[in-house]
Amino acid sequence: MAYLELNHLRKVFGVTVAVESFSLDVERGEFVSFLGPSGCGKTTTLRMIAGFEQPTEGTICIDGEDVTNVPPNKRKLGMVFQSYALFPNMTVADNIAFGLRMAKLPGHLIWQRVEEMLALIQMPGYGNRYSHQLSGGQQQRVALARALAIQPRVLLLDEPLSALDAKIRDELRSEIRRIQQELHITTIYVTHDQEEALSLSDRIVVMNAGRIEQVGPPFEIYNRPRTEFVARFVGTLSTLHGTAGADGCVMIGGQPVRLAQPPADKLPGDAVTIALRPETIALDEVAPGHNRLTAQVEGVTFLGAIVRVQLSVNGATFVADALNNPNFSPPRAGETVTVSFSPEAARVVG
Amino acid sequence: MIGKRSFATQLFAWLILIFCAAYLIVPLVTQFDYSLRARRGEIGFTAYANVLSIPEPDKVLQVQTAPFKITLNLPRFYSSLLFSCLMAALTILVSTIIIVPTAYWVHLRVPKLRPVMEFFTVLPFAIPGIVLTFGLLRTYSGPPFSMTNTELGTVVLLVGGYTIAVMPYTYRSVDVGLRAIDIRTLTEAARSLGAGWPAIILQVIFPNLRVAILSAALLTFAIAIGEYTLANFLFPDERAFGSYLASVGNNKIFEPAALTIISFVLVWVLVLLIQRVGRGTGQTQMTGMR
Ligand SMILES: Nc1ncnc2c1ncn2[C@@H]1O[C@H](COP(=O)(O)OP(=O)(O)OP(=O)(O)O)[C@@H](O)[C@H]1O
Ligand SMILES: [Mg+2]
Repeated sequence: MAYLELNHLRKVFGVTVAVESFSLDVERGEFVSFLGPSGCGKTTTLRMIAGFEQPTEGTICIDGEDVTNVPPNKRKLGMVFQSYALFPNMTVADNIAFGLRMAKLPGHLIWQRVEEMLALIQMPGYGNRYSHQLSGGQQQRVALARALAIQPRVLLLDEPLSALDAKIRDELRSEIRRIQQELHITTIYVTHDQEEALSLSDRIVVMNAGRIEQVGPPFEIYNRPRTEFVARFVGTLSTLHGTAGADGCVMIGGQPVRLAQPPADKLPGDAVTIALRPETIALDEVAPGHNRLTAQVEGVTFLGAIVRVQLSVNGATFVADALNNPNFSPPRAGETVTVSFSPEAARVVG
Repeated sequence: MIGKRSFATQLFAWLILIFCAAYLIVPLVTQFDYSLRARRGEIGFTAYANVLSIPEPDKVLQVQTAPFKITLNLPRFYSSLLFSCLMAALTILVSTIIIVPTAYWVHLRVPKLRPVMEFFTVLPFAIPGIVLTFGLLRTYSGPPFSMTNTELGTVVLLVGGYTIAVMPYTYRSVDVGLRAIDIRTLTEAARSLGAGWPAIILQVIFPNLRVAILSAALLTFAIAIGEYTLANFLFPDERAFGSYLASVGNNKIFEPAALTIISFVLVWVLVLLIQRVGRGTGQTQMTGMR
């Protein structure tokens, strides 16, 4: 039996179905991210776990206990919000102590725990500050400490880094992972940022329109997306349109392309769409056994570590990414190049 | 060009400010001047002394101050002020206890009802005080309520009436205060940390509304202390400060002017005091949530 069990959760707001047949098992100590576009029901699911929304259907079990009808203040969960939500009338120490006071812990234990938490978030000596005397990143650290102080059964975070700027975001991201591993705390992390989900999670739940699209480790989600939605939402995707050819190959602009998994249910002449990660398309050399495509260069964008090349075959455009290399000069717009990719890199998506 | 225009605007602004200040200050100054002339041909504080001093024992008025049965040997200035302060304090207490949780609940659970609440809370503006007074008296002075039969019942009626009369100010002030903080998320944060509703209201909502509650309290105090109609009908013995002011105004010559100045100073000191108390957390609230 898993530590956190969500069974067939469903939530309806009036006529809007926010979440539908959501089932998930989370193991103790696991870090699971909910990833999906805006409005796909990530927050609603998290709020059902927290107890702020009552599921229309389905049950939630934590450590074997059915908490579906338990009020949020009795669930022993930690929650971190995008807007930090520190109590402005309290100092940092009082914020962290709040949950411990509610649990009626003796005073000396409270202060001991507060000190531990301040050390954990690497902010010792900040106990007497008020939230308006802290930066956004510091406020979110305190919010994290406040949620963790009560030793919650599950830590819930709803886009905790969205309000911060890029540099602090990266810093706090690794901080969250470090603390999570140190405390070995079961964590649900809501985000619409694929990079965050990929870098933090043990497993990712990709959601779309209230439903789960795919659940799996980051590597699997990225490299073996099960639906086109997942493939498109996680990472960039180049799609090529063609037709099914004889003996299982796909014709792209008159050029045959071989796939590791040929389109099974297509007759020769049927329209076929294949998808590729831009970084799996090689621009310089062709490895033996790889597919070749002759394409027109439409444009080149220099992104620092990556050079993104817009290509077209028969007027249909796609992109290829090459790692920047001082010894390699990227093609120019207007040139004709031969690109290549392995049969394993391409998959049929439609 | 911008400088020129802004100079003209500034001048205009200053003129308006000076005019308004004069409009307010000149009568005060003349009142003060008048209050000093109680003795012919002399400038002095005789009128103030008449109001404030303890007269000879045989002239002392005996006043019972409800709801506590204490007999105070004080001039009416003090006893009526004390009585009205007590009523004002009770009104502040009652209206805060009623209005803050109500406004909080409306914000949190039924934000759609906010316009309705606003409408109901400004009704006391539209209803003249005398109508409210007679309504209360007609309803509660006879069976089945008969509240005016007892001292305590009358006090309850007075405080209840005041609570309604100051509702436009209290509700609005609290409403604005609630809008300034993200109460929904703060509430959820507190709940997830194990707090029940009483703890949330007492430890999170009240402290963060401190400035709003204080300013509402100040307005309540200023209104309750000088109120005449309701106080005079419920306590015909002229126990309230408002009644006392009226009777002095009717029967004396120089003392009303002195009383005006004293009341003014009193309220002014109160304002300063409340601002002092409010300042500590005021800034926290203003910049705390962004
Ligand atoms: N209280 C509510 N009342 C009505 N509809 C709601 C409510 N909360 C959420 N919804 C709807 O439910 C759907 C899912 O919302 P949810 O907030 O869970 O999305 P999300 O995935 O968290 O999106 P975002 O990334 O923008 O935060 C949306 O269509 C939203 O409009
Ligand atoms: Mg959300």
